[in-house]
Amino acid sequence: MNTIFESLQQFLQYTGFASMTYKHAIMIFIGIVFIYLAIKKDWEPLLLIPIGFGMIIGNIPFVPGLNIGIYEEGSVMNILYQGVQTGWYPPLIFLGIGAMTDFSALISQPRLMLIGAAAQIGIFGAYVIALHMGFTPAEAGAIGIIGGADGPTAIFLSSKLAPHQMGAIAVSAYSYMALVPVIQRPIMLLLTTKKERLIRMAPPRQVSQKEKIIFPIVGFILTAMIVPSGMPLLGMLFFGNLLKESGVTKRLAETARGPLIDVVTILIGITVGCSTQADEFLTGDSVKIFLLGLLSFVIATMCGVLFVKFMNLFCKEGRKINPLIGNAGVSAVPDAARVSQNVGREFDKNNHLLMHAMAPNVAGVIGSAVAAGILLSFLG
Amino acid sequence: MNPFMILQASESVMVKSAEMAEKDPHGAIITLVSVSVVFTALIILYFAYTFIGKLSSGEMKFRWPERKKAETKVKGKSPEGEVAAAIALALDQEMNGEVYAAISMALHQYLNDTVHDNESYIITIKRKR
Repeated sequence: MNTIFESLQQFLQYTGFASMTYKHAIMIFIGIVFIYLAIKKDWEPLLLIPIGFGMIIGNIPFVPGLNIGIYEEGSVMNILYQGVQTGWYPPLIFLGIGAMTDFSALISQPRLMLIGAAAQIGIFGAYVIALHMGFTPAEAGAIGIIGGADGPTAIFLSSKLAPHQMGAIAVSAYSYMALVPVIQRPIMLLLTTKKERLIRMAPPRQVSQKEKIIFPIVGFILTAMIVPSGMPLLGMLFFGNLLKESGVTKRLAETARGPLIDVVTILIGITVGCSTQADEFLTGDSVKIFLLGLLSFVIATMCGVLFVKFMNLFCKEGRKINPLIGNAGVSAVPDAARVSQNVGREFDKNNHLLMHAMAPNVAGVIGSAVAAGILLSFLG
Repeated sequence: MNPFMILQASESVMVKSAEMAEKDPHGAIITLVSVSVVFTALIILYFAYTFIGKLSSGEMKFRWPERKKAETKVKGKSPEGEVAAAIALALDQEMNGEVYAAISMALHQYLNDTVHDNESYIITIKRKR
């Protein structure tokens, strides 16, 4: 009888309830909130559901030594986490993004590419502020990249520069990407006049198949030559696009933008969520990272909108750019472009800005990969 | 085993980060250089795609000297009349009908852009008495 009680007591000590702390409970609650927002509000469900559930998995308390935790070498979750740690999931996501993105809007209006460059100032604005808040340059670089609004890039860079903060950075990046409509709209309205919001842009010209094929080849050679450290992301992005546009690798393109990106998204989401273990995640630094991430997003959006206004000073009448597409310079594709479209239509129902906004939006993807490459070459 | 050992940045990152903290404590240098490089990269892409776009849309053309000569030669011969005549001959041999002569004439006029009358665009109204 005594042995039964001892065994039962021993078993109870092994349960999650015995080791549960308030921190675990908070993290599990945040995970449930993520799942709620994804289902109820439709905010980035493909990411928030895996991340949210991953948070719940990662915060079930257990007795160390069972080889089940994400940080225990050789455990299943640890093996899956290698793709995040060594940084090979993000380039695979970029391959899928390249294979599903139509760069026609950018090819037909190359001047809009500069908006994508201006929005990257948010990354470096947050970098400077993070330095002054006491983070090391490597940590500040990893935090700043949240402003690029590109989850895979944020994971790629933080896995190299600040792996101990990757959980907070990734969750922050994906959370703000989901909140793009909430964050960007008031900034866009604040920085534009009613007259500017009504600017109608000429429809983009037709782009030939030849141009679409040349685009990824020339784009990759030029950007990778300038920033070789960004090669894994840029190479996969442009390679994916070549698969799509070549017209002869339909099966490969479909795999890259379909099953492959889906599998990697599941793995990246669940492992990033799982990596947010309460002891590591619920710290003062994580709160600072969330604040800096928000700031980075705000600066990026402001710079994009203001840069369009600056460009308009040099544009002739009829060639002016609607500053409502400036927000799309961050690389949250296509959410940021959708925000431009929706805000534009609030003031003129027949003004469709989506196609125009897609140009800075995809330029933002290239820009943030270039920015990550630069930070890696300085600090990596 | 320390489970969090794997979560540390590599040694080279720590060394470079420490160097950067010493050289550029406020982050101004890295910011200026990085923003300049991002802009440079995208400005180069802008020029490249503008150039490719102009080539593709025919706004800008490469004209090789020999090809130019050949084009001039052909232009000088004014081929439209000959084309029409050749069509007429071919149709005549085939069917030997007046209808085909009319078609060839119409084609000739079409190729020379003489199908339409040139209107004066001045409309006058005369009162009928």
